[in-house]
Amino acid sequence: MNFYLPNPSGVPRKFLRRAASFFLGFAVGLVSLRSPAATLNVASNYPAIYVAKPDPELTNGLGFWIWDSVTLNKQTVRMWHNFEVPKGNPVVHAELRIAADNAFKVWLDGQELGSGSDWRTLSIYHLEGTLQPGLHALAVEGFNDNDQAGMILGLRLEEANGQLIRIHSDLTWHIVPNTDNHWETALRPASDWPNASVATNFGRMAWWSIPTSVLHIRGYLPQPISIWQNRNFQIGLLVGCAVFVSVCIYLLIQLVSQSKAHYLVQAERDRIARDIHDDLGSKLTQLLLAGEVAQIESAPARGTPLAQMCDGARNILATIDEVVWIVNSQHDNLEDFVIYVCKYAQNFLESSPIRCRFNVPQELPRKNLSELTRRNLFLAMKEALNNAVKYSGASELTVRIELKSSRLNVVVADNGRGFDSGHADQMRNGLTNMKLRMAEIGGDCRVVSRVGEGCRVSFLVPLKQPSFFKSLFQSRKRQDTPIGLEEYREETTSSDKTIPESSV
Amino acid sequence: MKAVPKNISAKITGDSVIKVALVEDQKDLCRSWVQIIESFGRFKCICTCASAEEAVVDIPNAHPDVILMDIRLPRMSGIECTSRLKELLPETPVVILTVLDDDELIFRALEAGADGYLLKRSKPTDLCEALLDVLDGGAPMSSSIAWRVVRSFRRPPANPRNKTHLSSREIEVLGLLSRGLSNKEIADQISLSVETVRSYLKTIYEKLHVHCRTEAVMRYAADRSAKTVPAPGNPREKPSTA
Repeated sequence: MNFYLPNPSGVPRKFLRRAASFFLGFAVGLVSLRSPAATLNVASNYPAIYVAKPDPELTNGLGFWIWDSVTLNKQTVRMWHNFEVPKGNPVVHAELRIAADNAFKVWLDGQELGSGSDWRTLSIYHLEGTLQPGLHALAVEGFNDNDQAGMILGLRLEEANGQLIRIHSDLTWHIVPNTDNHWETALRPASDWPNASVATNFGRMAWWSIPTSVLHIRGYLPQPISIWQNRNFQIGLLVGCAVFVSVCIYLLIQLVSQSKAHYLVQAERDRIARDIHDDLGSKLTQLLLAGEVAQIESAPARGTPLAQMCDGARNILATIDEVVWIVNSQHDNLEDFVIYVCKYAQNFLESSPIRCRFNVPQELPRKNLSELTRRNLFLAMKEALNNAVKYSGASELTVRIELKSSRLNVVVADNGRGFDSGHADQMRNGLTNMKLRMAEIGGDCRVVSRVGEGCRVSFLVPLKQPSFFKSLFQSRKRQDTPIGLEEYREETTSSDKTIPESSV
Repeated sequence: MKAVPKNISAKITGDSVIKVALVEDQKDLCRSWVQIIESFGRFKCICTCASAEEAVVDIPNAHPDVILMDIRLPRMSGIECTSRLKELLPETPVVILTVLDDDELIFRALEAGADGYLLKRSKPTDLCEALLDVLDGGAPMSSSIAWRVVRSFRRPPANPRNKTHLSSREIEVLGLLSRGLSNKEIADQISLSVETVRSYLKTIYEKLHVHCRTEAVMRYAADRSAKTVPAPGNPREKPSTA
């Protein structure tokens, strides 16, 4: 489908090219939407020249006076004709002569060339520019006030190689029903368009053989407009831009509110960490030291309630250490995580006969590790260490941390007695916990063990940042649920149960 | 490098009283500490200060053998106080006391010149051991601290004039430490005595102080000034209150 628009100055194109560009296009699009309508009148803006003494040559190339088969007063008749410009030879100049009783309006390829309202005047349109090869449509709307009616036309097209195409008003023209839309741009006739009738031969009846006056009008041949010059496309583009801008604004608002929420959550986490440290930690320490002093003063033997109380306070303080570490947003990175778990493993195994070894890369890239990942991975590791101390009977345990293309592998391997994975009843609970923790952060937990060959627990955690849209979605989902206090309580109690070996 | 002062070594082996200075802002805690420390019989608390400002005035006059320093103090932090006291009493070991096992904080204290650290929740016997160890020239270093030491030396020094480098042996020791080996295991592995490993660690501490001397203080000065308290002056200058 071709769309035609006059392009006299090149201005609309310049605008429209800009309209294709992103945000500017939004604003400029508004202007460009109006430009086709504005340029339609250019042809008629050219100065008209009246010829005082008509030349007989003027009527050369005109066809018949044609009209609908019936002639009525106050009748509007649409006459349509198509023609083809041969391939490789575009039309470089055209001359259209037209007159109608009583009035006409003429279009070429849907572009209005002009109109006339005096049947004695011949309008001659001198059209500059190029008409590309292919089908073109010539459309004339005639109006009859009363009595006889007719339209006479001759079009001379000059091709690039000098050849001429001549089109006359004749029987091959079609009459278009007045109910049809977009008929002036149609390139092929519809089946229900009857042929035109000849009102009379040229020069017969009341009509002139030489017009009383001639009107010369300069104009431009319609140019095929590019897709971006199409009005529908422009509207589409505008709507697209508007949608895009709205989506951008929406996402921006989301991002701002999200980063604000993120910041608030972080500030709140840090405040909680500080409060726990300053209030809970300090006061418990005070209590512990008071207990120690009381022990010194009364000099009781080991294992008395007072000593147990002090040990209990120590355990709680150790747990507070963990909680503060998890909650504090400053530690939301890979390096702090690695340092912490190594220290934890070392402290945890200090009181056991198991020697602890680390196999950790010396250089760790700076990578964020969310609180969720950090906590779950740490608690899963704790479980693995606890299992090793309780069941393995190992002499050495190795913590290996590897970073493999945005995946973190944490391996806890011991050289203990191992177990047959089919008969690991006592460990089942721990294994389920580890798997659940890994599932929560999209990771995986693998346990490999054989009797007499130790046990290797691997945690595989994806470090890849979730995509922007995914994170938007997830953040909203997570915001719905308040910070998991319940969950936390469960964790601290479970660690109370498992810790005593480590702290004695 | 600086050797362990003779007179202190003599104190540990002998039965003479070891003079302790304590900086702790909470009165109850302070009282408890004094009781616990003195319960060992060998230690005598000769000076207790409720703030860092007080400490930099009183402690140099008291000439203690060892200083116990709370890391969290109301105005001037324990870390900055350590740095200032180290300027005034370079030979007196400072042991940092902390409620939380926060590596980052402990490491900054070590950078500022502290010779050891202790969790407040440690058992009294551990406290006694730690005090004796630090007086004996020991330098406690966990794997996580070793890790941070290595990382710290990778950074350019705070003062370009303090160009300190770790020897290859020291790096080796740190590497083994960060892999979780104990002093004894390290000694076995590289065929040295435990004493030599200890002295390596002490040297690493010394180098760390030199490497980071200005930085730790500057950082705390910046932190402090951000919290409405006027920034303290250059730690190299003697405090005006002295």
